[in-house]
Amino acid sequence: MASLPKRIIKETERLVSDPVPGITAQPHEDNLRYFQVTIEGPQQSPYESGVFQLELFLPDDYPMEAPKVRFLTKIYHPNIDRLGRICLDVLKTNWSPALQIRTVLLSVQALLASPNPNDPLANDVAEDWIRNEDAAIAKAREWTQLYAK
Amino acid sequence: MYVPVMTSCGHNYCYECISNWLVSNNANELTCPQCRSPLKEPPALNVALQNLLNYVVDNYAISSLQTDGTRAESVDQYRDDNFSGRLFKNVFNNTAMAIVDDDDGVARCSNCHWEVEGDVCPHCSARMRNRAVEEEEFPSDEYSEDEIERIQYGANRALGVRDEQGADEHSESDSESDESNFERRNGTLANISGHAQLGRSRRRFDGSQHGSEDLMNSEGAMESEDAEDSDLDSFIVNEEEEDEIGGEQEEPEQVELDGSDHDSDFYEHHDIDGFVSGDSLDNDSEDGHKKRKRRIQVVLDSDEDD
Repeated sequence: MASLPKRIIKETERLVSDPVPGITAQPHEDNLRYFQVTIEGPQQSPYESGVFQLELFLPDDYPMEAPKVRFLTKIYHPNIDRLGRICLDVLKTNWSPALQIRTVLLSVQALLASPNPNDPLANDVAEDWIRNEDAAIAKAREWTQLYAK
Repeated sequence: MYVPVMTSCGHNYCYECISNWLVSNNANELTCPQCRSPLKEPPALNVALQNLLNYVVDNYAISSLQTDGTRAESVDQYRDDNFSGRLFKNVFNNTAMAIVDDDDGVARCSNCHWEVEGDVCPHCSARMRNRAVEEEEFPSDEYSEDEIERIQYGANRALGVRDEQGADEHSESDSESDESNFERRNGTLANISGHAQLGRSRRRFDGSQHGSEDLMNSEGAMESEDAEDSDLDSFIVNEEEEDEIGGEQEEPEQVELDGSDHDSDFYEHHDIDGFVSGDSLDNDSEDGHKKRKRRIQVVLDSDEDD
């Protein structure tokens, strides 16, 4: 592994010393660009009281390129598919080097609080969401109980 | 940060860092990482900030040996780039205009005439200073579905109006020469142009700009032919009424687009397509009618025979 850019070291230090409430990020021992992340489901969302596991990888071009983030825990969400991939603008076209690991994870947490079925990644989930929102929210809650404990 | 540069939106970056970002982001519009506002101008060296930073480094840095090395490198890099005129890895220099080709309505790079999609020429990788490609898309809420379909099919082939014109020319000027046909058509366009004033402000085609100029030039010809054109005028009045009923006034806009990029050749070709010409349609329907009558008669005859 080539030497780690100063920015990544600084970000990692700050994530450990001054963590975001409801979010943890631990760098992997063997690969300091690979993080194991947990995000607590936001309150008053169907994911409340769930703890979701994610993985985050900083590509070689980081921070010129967005980090790769993926859910490891199964989640019922219109913008997250069954492989855990996330449809979020700041991870794709709206990435900016002024963003950091912590801001990206905050954005993911905000996405849990406000699902957007009109720009879906998991089409079946989004359809359920539009057709019967109450039932979809109930199912999301159920999945949270089942998988995100 | 030894060489701070400031963007037009007031944010400061290290010269090397912002250069890397601009290069990696080169396929899109160049933006400020902090506020995402588009960067049209290259960021400029912020001398005041540089002096301040130098002061801090010189007086408070822990290991001056290391910082001196990187500082010299950064400053040299900037000076070299500045001297060779290749600041910011040249992303602000290698630019071109996206120009809509009058012949086929495709936006092309003004450097190499390659077809451009997006902000960067896929051939010479010049960045487009204008965004002709995007502007070509029509806001869907201003047009009916039918119109959007027609417009997207190709502005040069906006069928609706041309059909009617084709019909027009046929019905009264089959025997006339092509040249007079062409003049007549220009007259028609000029008549409509007044009606199209509203729509003109919304047009964003390079091509159509020429179109309106053509129309202005042809205005004189139109006046001299006024008497001759009276039939056309009545036809157009009908069309306007239809427009008003339809609630949309986009048809004349298309007329202008048409006028911009076709010569009389096109209409000759167009005549060959029998179905678009009004009187050939009429003939068809008349023929069909006769044939049907004839067939009925035959059937009647055969009935009688039986």
